[in-house]
Amino acid sequence: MADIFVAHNYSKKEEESVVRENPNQPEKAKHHVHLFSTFCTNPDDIRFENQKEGEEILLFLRRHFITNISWIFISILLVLIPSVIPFFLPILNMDLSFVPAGLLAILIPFYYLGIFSYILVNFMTWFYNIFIVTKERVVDIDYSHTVIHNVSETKTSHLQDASYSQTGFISSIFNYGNVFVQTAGTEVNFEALAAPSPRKAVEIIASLIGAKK
Amino acid sequence: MDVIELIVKILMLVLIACYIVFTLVVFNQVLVMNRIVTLNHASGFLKTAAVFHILLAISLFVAALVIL
Repeated sequence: MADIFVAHNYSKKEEESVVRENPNQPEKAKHHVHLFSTFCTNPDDIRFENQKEGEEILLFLRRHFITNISWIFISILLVLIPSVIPFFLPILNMDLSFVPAGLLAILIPFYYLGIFSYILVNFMTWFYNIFIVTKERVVDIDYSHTVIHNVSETKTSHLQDASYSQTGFISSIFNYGNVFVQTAGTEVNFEALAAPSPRKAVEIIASLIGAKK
Repeated sequence: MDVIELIVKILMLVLIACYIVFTLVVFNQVLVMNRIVTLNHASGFLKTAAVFHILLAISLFVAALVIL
């Protein structure tokens, strides 16, 4: 007699692959975060302060890299300015021969060092503005003006609503937008500005709202 | 040495010394932020850049002391 149902003995690996085949389950594959990462699901090489043992990070967000274009462009211009000045001095009838050579030998490297710090501080501002979503909480790390940093977090059980706005031509082309997370009561609301793939980010955050631990 | 040259030298040295303090503040901020969030290789890159920044500023101070 033919069998109607035969129970299949899944190995642990097979079980995991079966679970992943379910389209409603989020992708569990671990991803590496590199220097310029802006959107990463299930990152495996990030640790943050007060992270509990076994607390899994679901989403890592930063501003889209294209938002850095303004300071990169300014930096390139600033680098080029000293090499262009000698061509303009005769046109403007100016002469810099009164400036001692020794002073110029210090001023020019000092100028380029200033540009280096401008690049470093702007890069740090982008690099350390991070939005992390774990199974247990949402952590928003803000960094600005070299000496200001602010870390806020809330439990996922306090999340009430997640939404995003994508306005403008450039944000549509590069697919980035502002992600807003509303929390219960008087707690601060969270926002990830200019986050890449905002729709996907909101989907991940929304899946945690009302979810049982 | 001309008085004006001396004033310029002192002003430049003070300016670069202030800049060194700024580079130290930047380095301290990198350390603080790396404590808050650690991204394996990427955090090390910024720390290296901040140390390089300090070394450049100190080198410039020494150069100014010798050249000016």
